Amino acid sequence: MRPTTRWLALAALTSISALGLATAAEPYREQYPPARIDPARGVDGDIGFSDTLPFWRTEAELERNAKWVGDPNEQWKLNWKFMDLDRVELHPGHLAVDEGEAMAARLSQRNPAFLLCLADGGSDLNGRAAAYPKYDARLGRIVTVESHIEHCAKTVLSEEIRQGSPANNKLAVYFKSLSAGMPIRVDLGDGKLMESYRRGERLFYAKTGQLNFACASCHVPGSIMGHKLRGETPTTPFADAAHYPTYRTPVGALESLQERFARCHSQMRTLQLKPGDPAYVDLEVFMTVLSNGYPVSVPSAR
Amino acid sequence: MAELMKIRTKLVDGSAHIVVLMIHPMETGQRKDPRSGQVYPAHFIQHVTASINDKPVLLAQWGPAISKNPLLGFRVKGAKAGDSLVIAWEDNKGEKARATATIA
Repeated sequence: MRPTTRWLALAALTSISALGLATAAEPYREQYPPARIDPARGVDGDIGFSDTLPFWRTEAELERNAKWVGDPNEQWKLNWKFMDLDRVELHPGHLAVDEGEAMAARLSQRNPAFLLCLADGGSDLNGRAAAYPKYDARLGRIVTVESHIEHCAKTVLSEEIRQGSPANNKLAVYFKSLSAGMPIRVDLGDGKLMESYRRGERLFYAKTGQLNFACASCHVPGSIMGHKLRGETPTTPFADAAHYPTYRTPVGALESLQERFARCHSQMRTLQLKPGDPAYVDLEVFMTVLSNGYPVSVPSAR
Repeated sequence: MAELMKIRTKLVDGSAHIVVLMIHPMETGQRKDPRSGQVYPAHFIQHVTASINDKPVLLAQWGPAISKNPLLGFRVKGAKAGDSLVIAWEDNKGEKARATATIA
């Protein structure tokens, strides 16, 4: 074989194997019929989706519609945001912020570079969490608040603070609480982030597991959303990333968004992935883009 | 831990709405460590008192059925702004905590 043809044959082979790999890595999945979601609209995309946004967009609106709390037919329209009104002002989420703050102080005492790493070289953490997840060119991957904490602890302190561990969640709650009230601003101009968004969007509609459910089976218009699913009424997926990590009363512990995905998956009777799995990162990007423009509301309880 | 209790007060129509979040493990003594099989020793709050201007307004006897990090909410009629509120608890190990707040 002449060198050129051999090279061509090799190129053809690799391209075939690359194609084969893509299809082999991703088994056939039925797709739920996609709803039209425009990422550029952020949380306002809920208009024309579930149309419940006007009921929970602002605190004043929530106060006005607080009469719906406990009403089985109407409560879903508040997207659980009434729990952010925080009427008692006290729940274990607030304790987690204190614990996370103390932990961050302890860790930065050991090595001040830890906070510097968390702040991406800036002087403080204020408002920084609202821009996550984002693409980190140096690491070559999408970074979430939780994976950023894990990364900084590993590189600066050589300590494992794994995503999904209570310590990581406490630090994440503290970090995000410093951005409380600031609108989420995920950078849609980043090509890599948009690639991740598209992958996450695909996962949102992909059916999986014994029950063959997709996220969309319950959370898009025309599905079960707004109707009874056993004891629950599924709500819109818009703005749901804003209050994570949150204190979950049914669990009695803090839960990050990706741990919540795993819990959904167990209820959908499908394989649970570990926090930090690329699929969950893509899904988190998708969910956070749907919260773009909605203020971070950490600490919170659900 | 910075503090053992968080207190919020609010005056509504002449009565004080008081909410206290206590930080406590509230172990029942029934739970086992899944790895070693050892029982976690019971550790729960037994007595809670609340007083306004040194006058007791609430006495509570608690047991292991109360949740971890309990949240206690109650209302006191006739409380005024500026009154001093003291919450104290004692658990079955004899540990005590005390927190003060001003009604606002």
